[in-house]
Amino acid sequence: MDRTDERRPRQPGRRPKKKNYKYYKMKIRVFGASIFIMAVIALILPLRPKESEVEKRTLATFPSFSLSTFLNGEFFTGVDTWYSDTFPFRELLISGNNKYRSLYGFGSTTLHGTIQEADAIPTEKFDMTMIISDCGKAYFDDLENRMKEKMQAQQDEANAIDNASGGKKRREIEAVPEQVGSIYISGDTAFQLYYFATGPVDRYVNALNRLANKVDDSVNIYDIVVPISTGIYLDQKLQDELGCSNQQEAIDYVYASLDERVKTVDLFDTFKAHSDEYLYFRTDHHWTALGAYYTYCEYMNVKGESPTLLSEFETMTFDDFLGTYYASSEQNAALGSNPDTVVAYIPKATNEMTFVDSDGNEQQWKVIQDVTDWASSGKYNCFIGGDNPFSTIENPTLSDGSSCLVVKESFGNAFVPFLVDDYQTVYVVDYRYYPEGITSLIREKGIQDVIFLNNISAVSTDSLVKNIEEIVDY
Amino acid sequence: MVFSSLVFIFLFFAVTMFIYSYVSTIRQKNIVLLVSSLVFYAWGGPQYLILLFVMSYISWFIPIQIRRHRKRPAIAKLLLVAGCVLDLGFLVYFKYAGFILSNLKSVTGFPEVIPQIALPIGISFYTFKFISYMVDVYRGEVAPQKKFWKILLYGSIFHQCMAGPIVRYADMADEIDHRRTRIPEIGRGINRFAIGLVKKAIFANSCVQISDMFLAGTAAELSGVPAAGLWLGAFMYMLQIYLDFSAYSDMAIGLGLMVGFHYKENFDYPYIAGSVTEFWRRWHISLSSFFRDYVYIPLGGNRKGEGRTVFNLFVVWALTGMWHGASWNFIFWGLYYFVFLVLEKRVFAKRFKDAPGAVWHLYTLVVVFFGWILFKFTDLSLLGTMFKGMFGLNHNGFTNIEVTMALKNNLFFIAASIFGCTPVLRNVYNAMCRKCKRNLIFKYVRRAIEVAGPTVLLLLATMALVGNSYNPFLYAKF
Repeated sequence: MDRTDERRPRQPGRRPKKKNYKYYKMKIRVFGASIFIMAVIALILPLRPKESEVEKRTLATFPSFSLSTFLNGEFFTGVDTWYSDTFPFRELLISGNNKYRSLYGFGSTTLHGTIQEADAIPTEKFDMTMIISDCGKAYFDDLENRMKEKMQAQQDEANAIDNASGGKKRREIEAVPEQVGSIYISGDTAFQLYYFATGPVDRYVNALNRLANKVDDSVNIYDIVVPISTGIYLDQKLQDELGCSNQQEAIDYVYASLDERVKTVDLFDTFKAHSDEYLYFRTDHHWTALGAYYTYCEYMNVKGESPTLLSEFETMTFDDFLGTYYASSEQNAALGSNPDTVVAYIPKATNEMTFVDSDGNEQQWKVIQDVTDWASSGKYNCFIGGDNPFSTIENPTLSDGSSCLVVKESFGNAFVPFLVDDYQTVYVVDYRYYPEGITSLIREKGIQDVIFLNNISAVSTDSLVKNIEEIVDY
Repeated sequence: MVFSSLVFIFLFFAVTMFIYSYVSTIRQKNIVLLVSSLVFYAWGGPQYLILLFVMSYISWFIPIQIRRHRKRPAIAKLLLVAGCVLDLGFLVYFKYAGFILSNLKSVTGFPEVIPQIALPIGISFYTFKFISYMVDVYRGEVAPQKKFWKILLYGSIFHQCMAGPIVRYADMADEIDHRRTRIPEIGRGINRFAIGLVKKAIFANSCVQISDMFLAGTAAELSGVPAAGLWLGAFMYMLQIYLDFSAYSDMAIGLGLMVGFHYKENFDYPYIAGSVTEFWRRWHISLSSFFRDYVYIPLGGNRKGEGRTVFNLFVVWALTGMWHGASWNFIFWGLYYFVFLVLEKRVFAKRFKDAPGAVWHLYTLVVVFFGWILFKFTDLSLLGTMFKGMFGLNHNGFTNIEVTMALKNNLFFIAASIFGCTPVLRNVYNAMCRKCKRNLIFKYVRRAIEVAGPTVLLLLATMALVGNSYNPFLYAKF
């Protein structure tokens, strides 16, 4: 026995009253016309965007035809993807979609990506001699062997290339696009969640220690690990809830584990003291030049010299910066309506520099480039021409032979301009793209100060630490 | 190609409808429909067109022969069996061979290599359409179609070939040759299509995003999700699966109305059902009525004694489960409903007859909710992790910031989605329409909605579809 009556679906085809026909016709015309107009617009190829500035990627291209991709349907899938990926007025439509999506709820915080589990930060400093357990010993023996094997393989390969071309040895560069992990957005500010990872951090420490043993004792090695905004701006309770690792503890662990020859620059307390200032961008994972300036001051402190005052620099200001967080949050509306401002400080001595691009061509550039007309996602590129494998800045006002080498990821870009006035030559290596080893560079150029600059997240990222190992060991 | 893709709406649909309204005779219109349907089908891989042609040919040829031998029942029956075996053979080969062989392998160790057979799009749907046609001809309920291309059109028509509804030939036969498109019906078709599009592109696709936040991970990730996250994820999945599938049916019915076909409703607000039995009368109606008419009743239905009735139900629900996918969880899902349907008939209906309606509704929703969890996880170990986690047995607390954030940020949306699963909005609109004569405001509001509504919905859906990463219709994979 059933509890409810049998419900039959309504029979279609009821004939509405005649007087409504006028509006039915109007509806059909409006709907038909809008489909037709949009269909025509969608076929106007020049209206189709080729790349997305916001998402920093090339959009799908029309698939090439072959009999096999035609038969298994891949060709059509490609057409599908191309058609929707490059739909005319794409960015406009997406931002329209984000506008009404902000009506979904009342929360002002969102999470893009997921909360992960971080490794625990060891309380003891990392020290090979302290590994007593067999298991731990085996692990590090294994690591060492693998490292040796790898170096041998690299050596062999380099020799082979040397023999073949007679040219300089170059390491293989894998262009890994900059990844922003999970991000947390509160109001108009985005934060990258930081997760400590023991493996990469230990390997980073090891790589720097190896470098310290490779170069002359006269060379000073400095390590700067920069906290990211999450650790400075968010309170500890929220960070815990988000599963984030404590950045101060992580940096302390790195610094404590480093060889005594490596001098460290502790930023955390300074940054905390200035946490009401604009140290980090809200829509981008980088820091501002102001954050970099405090770092420069701390660095000069460690060196025992006095920094140039901020007020002595001339500035350039670029508005409407919407960075990586904006892109990876699929154009969060709150970020989009509150873009960042980039303030850049021009070195007093010179604004000229040269860099070698990834094809090996030397180019003249400005230390601080006017990017007013650039895309709103590219404003951080005003500093030293963005990420280039190798750059040189000569200071015409000094002739004391002083030089430094900054080994950095993109956080270093905002930092380098401040060093220009204090050295005759500033060399900059982006370890992700530099095709050679740095030991020979240090020797050849007679560099006195080697500065490693990384944000804490980079130090915990496997692929980046791999690059550091390579330029150290190569 | 799916209905909710830009290429379908602004290329395929636009071009097809343009040509369709340009040609004048019904024959030409049918040819336009056939050609466009074949293009639509070929979009997922033209190689499967061969399969569609072969199965259509069998299903065209057999009924004509059955008709010719109608005086000799034995031969007619043999022909029918042959037709069904052939059509089902294709379905079994393409859909279940991998599953059967991998189970065989785990029991006997043979065969060594399990062939990877891709599932042709829509095969589950058009196989059933063809079978219903052959059986109906055998039963003398419908005359066989003499023209092959019309059977091909019946099988392949793009409105239904990918994800149903499973329309009977008898319901379409007449309209293939004689159909009139009336202005108000085109209007209603546009409404249905636009509503379906929004249901899918905005509602179902957003539901899946929330659900996937919690349920999409690996076993390790899933065991890290706190209980509230799993419940929320499962709830969003429950909303998604209805919105997604009924959206497809809405769009199919709408497309049909635009060219003069009247397909039966496939969903009737299943989540307002007051019992599991009723739920199945409201959910995927074309599938459950197929099993009723072509399996349950031929097996004897409830006319051969209690034991036999239970057995018949068992067969029907095992098959229903299996139809949804070649995996054990679907079979368990079917049998899960078998258990509740039998319990309802035998026990609940007598013992809890006087329980308040709210209790019945709640009980139905709970049964359906857990049913969808069974349905969701094809991997049985994930299913175990899921159930343990839902009751806090993975030891990671009740909730976390991720869950609260997802809830806060989507509260209005979730409420709207729940509304979308009920007939409230439709009833309010209909009530307003009835008062139009007397109330001038209602009259103009209604006109504005009728004229501009579908176009606004189309624009909203287009915004959502541009740059959208997740789109496939859930049911298209069955």
